[in-house]
Amino acid sequence: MAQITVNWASNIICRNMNCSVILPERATTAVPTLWLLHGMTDNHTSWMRNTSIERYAAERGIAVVMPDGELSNYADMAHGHRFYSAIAGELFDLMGGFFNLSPRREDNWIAGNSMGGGGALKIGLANPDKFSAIGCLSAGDTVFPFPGTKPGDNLEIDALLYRVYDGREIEGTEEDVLGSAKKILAEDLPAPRIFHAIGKDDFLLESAHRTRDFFTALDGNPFAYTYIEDEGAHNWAYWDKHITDFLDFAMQR
Amino acid sequence: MAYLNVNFYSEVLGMNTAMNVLLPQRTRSKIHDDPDGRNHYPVLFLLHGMSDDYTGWMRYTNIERYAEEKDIAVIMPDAGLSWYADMAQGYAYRRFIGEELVALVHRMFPGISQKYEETWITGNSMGGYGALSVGLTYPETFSKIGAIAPGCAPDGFFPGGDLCRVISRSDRFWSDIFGDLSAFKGSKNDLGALAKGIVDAKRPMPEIFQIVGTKDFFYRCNVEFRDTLHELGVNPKFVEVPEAFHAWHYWDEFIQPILNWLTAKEGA
Repeated sequence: MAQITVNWASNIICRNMNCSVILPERATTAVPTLWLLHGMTDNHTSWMRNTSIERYAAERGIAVVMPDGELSNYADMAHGHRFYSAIAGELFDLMGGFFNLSPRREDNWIAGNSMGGGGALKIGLANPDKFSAIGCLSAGDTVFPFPGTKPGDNLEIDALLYRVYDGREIEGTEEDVLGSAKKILAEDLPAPRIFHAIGKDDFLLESAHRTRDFFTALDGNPFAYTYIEDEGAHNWAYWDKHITDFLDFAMQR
Repeated sequence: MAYLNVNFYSEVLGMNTAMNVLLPQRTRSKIHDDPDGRNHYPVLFLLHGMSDDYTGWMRYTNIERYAEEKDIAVIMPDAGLSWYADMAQGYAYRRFIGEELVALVHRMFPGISQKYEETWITGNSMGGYGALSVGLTYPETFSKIGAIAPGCAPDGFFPGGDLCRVISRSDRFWSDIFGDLSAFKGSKNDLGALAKGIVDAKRPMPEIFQIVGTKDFFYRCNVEFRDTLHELGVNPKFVEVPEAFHAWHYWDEFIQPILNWLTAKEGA
């Protein structure tokens, strides 16, 4: 496997951005691709440093693209940069131009941990033509606000929420994650399959339950929604273990 | 322009190695509606010199800015102190670059041209020798060779040679690279012999551009190599820069006429 750090120029964000890529360098045909998002406080290096993702990708002959989403919640921020557009649109196109990544929907999957899990649900459900599988680890469809907190409890979180959302319209946009899911059903779009895992000791369990309740209430399970709630907490040991479960789920044909 | 630091496994070397890559940005959605109708960009393999590594060209020159102006990709591999040779005792760097790396780059970056006339090799000092030795070993792969202050005759460094005071290394250092030092002349590591082999076999001869300062300790061997090429009926472009010596300060200048020459349109 080749391990590549790409410093690319985003026309949307108007500055250079970093992205890590793991690539089967000997593949002669277009490779399936996992788009893998990090969580809060982390960046494009974190999945490589805290898990064995390169080994898991090598065993499966797939590429992994890990962008840097900073503290954006993968949103087009009210005060900040347009990370959603840069990652879901610009980066997706650009990496497919740089490398021999398969453009086929069934070969593209998006996953992430924590903020990246919410980001994967958001990007995957808003772009069902691009992604056939979504992996949400240790999050729900909204990471913010943190369950059990109210404004004033955590000024850092309040500031983040303000920078990301500040009263911007949510309904009908990509930020309305469950709305995107409803739109897929209403318009009969291809539905990505969803893998959702969270540890029993995770502080985002309440968020995850909200998401679970939405998908399990749908008739006929149109998203092939699979929910796992098992031993574990909000940490890299949990994500290292469950990212392979997601890959097995995504690669089931 | 995107800058990529790539760590990858080489089967020829039998180990992981690194390279820097500069890529013009083309998006997947736009790749087929390029106004010039050009879907692929030319590629320059750019080799470092002794005591440097694959990061040298990006740290000591403006290569990214120049490459962006020319809209070309640049591949900067690592070769340690190998002189880009298939070492007698060590790694097969010439084969790694001339065979494996070219194929790997084509597979890894579908936007890079696979055309002969858009595949070039250049380097400074030891890398200038490397550009010539790799280019003249694989003349069907590289159409143009740019040699910047190249060490055309590394045997000058061998103990007792005219350059042995410039870089003092042991017999063992050089024989691990080139094998039997007394058999260097006429061997696969002798640039004149490589060029003669191409002429004799009527294989395509890459175009060659040598640029060197008159105060460079490699000046004399460059004049001699040019004369050897002339005797073979090959006419390299040869530029000697008055007073210039062996330093990155000059190579940042020299790479610019090389890039102009590489990217010049036919007949222009």
